[in-house]
Amino acid sequence: MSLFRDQMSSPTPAQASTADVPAPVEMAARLPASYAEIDRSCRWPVMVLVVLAVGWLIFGSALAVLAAVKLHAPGMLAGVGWLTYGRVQPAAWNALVLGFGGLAGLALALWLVARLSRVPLVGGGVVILGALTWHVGLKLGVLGILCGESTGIEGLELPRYASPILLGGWLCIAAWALIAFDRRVVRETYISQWYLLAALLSFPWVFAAGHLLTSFLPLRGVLQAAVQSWYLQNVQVLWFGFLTLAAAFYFIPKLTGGNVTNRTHARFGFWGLLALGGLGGMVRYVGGPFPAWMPSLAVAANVLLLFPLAAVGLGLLEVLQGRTARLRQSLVLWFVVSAVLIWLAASALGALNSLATVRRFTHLTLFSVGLEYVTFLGGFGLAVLGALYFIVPRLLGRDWPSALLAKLHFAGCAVAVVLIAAAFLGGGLAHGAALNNADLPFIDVARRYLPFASTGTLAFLLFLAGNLAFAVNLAWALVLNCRVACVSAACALVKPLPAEVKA
Amino acid sequence: MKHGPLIFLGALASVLASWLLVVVAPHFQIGNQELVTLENVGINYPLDRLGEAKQGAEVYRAQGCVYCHTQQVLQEPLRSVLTLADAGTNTAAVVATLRKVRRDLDADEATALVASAPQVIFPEARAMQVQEVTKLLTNAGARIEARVANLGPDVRRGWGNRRTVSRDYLRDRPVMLGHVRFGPDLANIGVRLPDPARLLRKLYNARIDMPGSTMPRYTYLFEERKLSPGQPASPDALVLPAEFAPPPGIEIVPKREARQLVAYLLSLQSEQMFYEVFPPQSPKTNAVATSTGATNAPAAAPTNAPAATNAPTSP
Repeated sequence: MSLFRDQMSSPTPAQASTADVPAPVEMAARLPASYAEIDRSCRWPVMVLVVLAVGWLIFGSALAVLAAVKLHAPGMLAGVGWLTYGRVQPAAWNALVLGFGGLAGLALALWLVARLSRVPLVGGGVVILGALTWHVGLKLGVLGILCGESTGIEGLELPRYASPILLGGWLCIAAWALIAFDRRVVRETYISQWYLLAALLSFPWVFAAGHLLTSFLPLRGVLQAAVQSWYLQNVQVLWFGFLTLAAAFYFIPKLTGGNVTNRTHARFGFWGLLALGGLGGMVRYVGGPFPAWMPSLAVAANVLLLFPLAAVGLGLLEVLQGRTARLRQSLVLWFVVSAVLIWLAASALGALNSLATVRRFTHLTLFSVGLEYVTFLGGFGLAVLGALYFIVPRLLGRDWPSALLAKLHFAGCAVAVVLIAAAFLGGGLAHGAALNNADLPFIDVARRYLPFASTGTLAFLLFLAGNLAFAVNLAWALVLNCRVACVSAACALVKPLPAEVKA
Repeated sequence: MKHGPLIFLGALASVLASWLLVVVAPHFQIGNQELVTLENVGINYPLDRLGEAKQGAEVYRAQGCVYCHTQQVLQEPLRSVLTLADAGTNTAAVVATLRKVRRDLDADEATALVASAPQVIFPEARAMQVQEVTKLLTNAGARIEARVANLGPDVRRGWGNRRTVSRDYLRDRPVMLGHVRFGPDLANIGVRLPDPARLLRKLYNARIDMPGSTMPRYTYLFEERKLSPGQPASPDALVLPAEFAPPPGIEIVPKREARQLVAYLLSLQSEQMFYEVFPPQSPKTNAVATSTGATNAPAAAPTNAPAATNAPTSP
């Protein structure tokens, strides 16, 4: 095995190869840090990100349950303005996407970049500061939405006073991941690193440009909606999608012991997703008040996206081939493998959904809502939760206190995602067929989609319950850890140090 | 792939390319759209909203109405009526060409059709078909006219007399197109439901007029006022049916936000005709569709729009 290959085919070849091969001259000065050392350097910054992210996950899921209930019980809590559906729904979505998705995604990115670069993470203090900044900014933003100060543009609801704070926090955190990548000991990069790097580099531009041109210097007329669709598509593919794939390409080979054999596929998948990923957003407004070429471009990009998706899927299947028995043993693999399958299926469905014949029955219905939920919660959400099951024990230096709670978590989330997929995607077709039938009064359209939409309540309750199990498990681990740390600290206080005795 | 810079450049190029294609190019195309001067009325469309309606847009935004209601009328997929308007002088060539594009016609039928022009030759032609047939028959010396054939479910439901186009939204900030229809489309609610009292009642409790409606109640936009004995109800108090009415001595009065929201809803009208919109097939069909496909039992849509002067010849 030589270090001077074009790229690594597995996330953990460095250990083996440094043993076999004499280190090249430039590397002799800096040896790869041990995993224990890297985990120690990540402990505080990444754990702060994780704890805040899990807080947002619980808060967001609870709000999502409330929103789902309100969809079929219009009279409930009607007197409370800040809990009306049109405010709870965006608040829930922002808490989940920016609170959980943003912070947990950054936690995953920091830890994975440091580990793959084989350098300890530096700048932990600034990362913690950035995490708190993001947290406070988002709190302001979500409170603003609940008070009716949302910008009114779906997906970009954060009020003007909140979005710059978030961007500042994000830069404080992500900068250290880029620095760790730059200081990497192994110069060759692994597939996960490409995805992480592309995600980390594109997100701030997308976030800044999206908010700038909708709430600070809004473009004229429907161009705001074009910016919105561009932002949503880029965040969905280049941030959440890329993080999902980074986790998949790291954890699946590592835990099954397989290799990514076909590098051409991997490279084609990455560059294809990068080039086409940001173009498909206008599918959201097919037939809307835009020049016709705009949605057409999006449709073409989305259909072409099927090729890199297939390349990525085949690459991961090859890793799994003949190793499926390993899946049963590892909870991390349950999460990550189902996440990447769901993400690939949802993305392929998104491509199909942009075709006019399919779109006729799904446009402006529950289907699009369901597809967003499934891609985000089922794809990115499951992937990052699985990654946390791997990362947190290594940072705390102890295993999860309860395996049962972890299994319950998986069951809750997986069933919730399947329910959402079945109810919203199926219900979307019923909704669309009813909308297309002009002779049906609208109240009957509502009656058609309502049973499906109500299933969302059950799904989000399951999702919330699963995540509560996770939160309890995490809190338990933290308390156990804290007790050990506190007891030794207390002992140290009581027992004078040898140095003090001498003095 | 050893170097970060390659990925850096790739990400830069990718974000930049999608930015240029999805945002900048459309900005050059429609970013400088002008208002339409409606000459027979002497105003610029879209109209600027009056103060109360403008504040109402903020109320609409703040309540998140956009999460259930779209503001876009669609007219898809587009089909056209192709009419042979004039056969020209070389009728033999036209008959031959006509038989090429419509293989179901025999020679006599085709000759009769050409002789009796103007005649509809394709009642529902696709866009590609329109291009091809128009080209062939025009080359043969005939004159072909294309009109929009289908109205689409939105127009037939009475949600508007035409699709909405980018110019309809020039005054909106933010533009709230919406992307799911849990409730009916509101692009023309001001035309469909011109009665402020009914809109207020809907906001207070949508189930009064529409049992089973899923629309949330916006009771916090209303005020419960106690009436002292003998005091007459205020003129703007809601008139509610008995089962929804408050106990005697109490009246429900809309707050300022509710009145602003209703003013905004009344201002939502995009039925003006100008050159870039597809006119509906015929006013008669439209009126029938409006009354049969009505959702909220609206008053018949007033056709206050000036008639289209220049119908597009082909989509």
